[in-house]
Amino acid sequence: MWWLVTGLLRSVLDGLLVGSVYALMAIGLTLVYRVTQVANFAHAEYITYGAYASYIAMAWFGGDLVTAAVAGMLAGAALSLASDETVFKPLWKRGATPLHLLVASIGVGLILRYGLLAVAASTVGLLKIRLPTFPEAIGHILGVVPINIIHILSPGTALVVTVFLHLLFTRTKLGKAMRAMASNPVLARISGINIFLVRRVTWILGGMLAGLSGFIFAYYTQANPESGWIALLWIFAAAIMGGFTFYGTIISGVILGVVGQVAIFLAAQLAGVSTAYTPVVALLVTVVVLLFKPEGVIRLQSLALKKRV
Amino acid sequence: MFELSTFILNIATFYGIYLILALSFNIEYGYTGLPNFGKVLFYSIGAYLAGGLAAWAAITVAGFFPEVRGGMPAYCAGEAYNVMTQVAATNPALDIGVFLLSFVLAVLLGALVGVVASYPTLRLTGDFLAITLLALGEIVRIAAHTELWPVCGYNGLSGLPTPFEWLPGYGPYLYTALVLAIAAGVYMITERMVNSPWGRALKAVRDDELAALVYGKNAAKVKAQAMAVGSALAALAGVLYVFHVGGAFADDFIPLPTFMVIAMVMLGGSANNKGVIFGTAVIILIDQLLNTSVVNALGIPLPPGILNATTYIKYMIMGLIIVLLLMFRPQGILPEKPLTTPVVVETKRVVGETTIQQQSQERESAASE
Repeated sequence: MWWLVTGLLRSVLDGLLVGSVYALMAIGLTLVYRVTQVANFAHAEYITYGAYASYIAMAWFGGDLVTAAVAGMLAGAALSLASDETVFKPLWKRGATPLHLLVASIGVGLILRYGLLAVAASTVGLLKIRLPTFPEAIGHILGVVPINIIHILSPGTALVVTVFLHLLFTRTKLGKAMRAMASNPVLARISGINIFLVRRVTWILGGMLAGLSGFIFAYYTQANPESGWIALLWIFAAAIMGGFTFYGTIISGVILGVVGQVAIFLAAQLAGVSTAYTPVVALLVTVVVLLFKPEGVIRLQSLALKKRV
Repeated sequence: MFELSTFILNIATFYGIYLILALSFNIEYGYTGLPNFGKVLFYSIGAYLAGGLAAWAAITVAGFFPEVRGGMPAYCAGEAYNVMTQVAATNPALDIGVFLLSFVLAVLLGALVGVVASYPTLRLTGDFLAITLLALGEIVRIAAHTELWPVCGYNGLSGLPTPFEWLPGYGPYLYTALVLAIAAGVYMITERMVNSPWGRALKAVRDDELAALVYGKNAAKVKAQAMAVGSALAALAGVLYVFHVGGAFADDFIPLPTFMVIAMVMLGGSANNKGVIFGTAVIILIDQLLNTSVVNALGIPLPPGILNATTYIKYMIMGLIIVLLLMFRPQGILPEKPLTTPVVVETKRVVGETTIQQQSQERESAASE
């Protein structure tokens, strides 16, 4: 039974790690969806580009981890803003439906993903990347379960980002304007909110978070040009499970990470199910939630948000 | 080895297969407004059915039953490839029989799965419906990739008996002709369907579901029927694909073919089947011409960096087509035309004189005389 206990502990730790990365990735998607109604499939590519930017900053220009993180965030923010300014904003001005915006984001995603693949395929050493600095092991729990610095760094980053965004939404005028636009864009505009500015800030913020999560991804595991696209289904599952609410998305991301790891560990050990089925957890959550509770399972609007509106 | 005739046959066959897929997507998306982004799910169902059936039939006819190891289908054994290709080359009845049987079964199974998969369309619309169907397609692909049944997991199945394998030389030509003939038949049938009262019901549900309900159209039933027809056609395309390449691989059914089909329908013009013919041709040409081997064979001088990346550049171009179309011509090259079936013409003609009811009464009395 000992191996079961240690295996479960390891799954929970890894689940918290990947779950907090999914949460970081998904916050950006939720923000953008709430403010601009774009179910953005290209969000995955901002993550990948963030990972690549941090790799290039470190491996080619000899930066340290902080430089790499900043490079990732800048790349994500720049791409995110660029795709809104060139594609989504013009479409929105012409009154595109959410479905059209989704199709457009698939198109943008294809351009970005295969653009990166085209470059990576013809450049040596870019098809599979990993930051040159590996996260260090700190010690072992119960003597066998290894614990790594990334196991603390990643949930910690998610926590810091959550607190930062919470303060932004509750304590600043800009956050209030973003919430106003999320609930009613027309009313927000009539009330004198500069909706174009809010829109721009939202896309930059979403892209930055995507780039940051791309950096963490490339720090703890190997990334390739399709990493973001593969993570996308977890991101959408988290956002949908959280009903596209801010706190709901974060909690769902962490829960999905842990449940995915634990469920597959148990299924593989006890029932002999292949670990290739891990993504099915996310896909099933997406389908079941959308079919039976499309408004989301964990809809958390904190009381503080409600009072201050 | 690059042969021009093989290359042209390949383009023509893929054109026929994708034309069927695009027409089926047009019924669902263009006419009924259901964004079936799980197109690849129904396409793959036909392929898995045909692949499993053909392999099973071939080894059964050959009398080849290796010991089944760990629940693995016998046709996944390493020796099965040679057995299947040998029996296929000498047994016309097997080749044609398997093709016809897969054809019929795939259409039935596709229609059935389509009705089942229309359940989400009752509860969801727009972007969330698209995401749901996309996720369903991925679930099926991952299962087929992991399980040995029906198409041998990630190894895939190859060496399947194709319908004209017993006719070396002429076989590929005949098969391409067959696929194009089936595609032409599908085109004519879809044109008839969408220009019928049923087709008008589809458009009514798309444009205003509430109004359609008020006029006595059962919207749920209409959607289920559209999904059934679309899925049956997609499964048929899957069968044609399997018998063209002579194999079935779960990893062919990632969401990319769906995105290609979306690009075809949007480029040609949604709810316009003539447009779809045109859009499919453009996208298929891009898809087939931009391959490293083709560019090499045609002797186009390209720097090696770009040459290696032609496949990726192809998908970039498709993404660009989708984005540019949405921005500058969302209705497509050939936009949807207003209905010109006789009912509309009559109402125009009789303005101010008689009502439609009177006219139809007159027509009935004329017919009875």
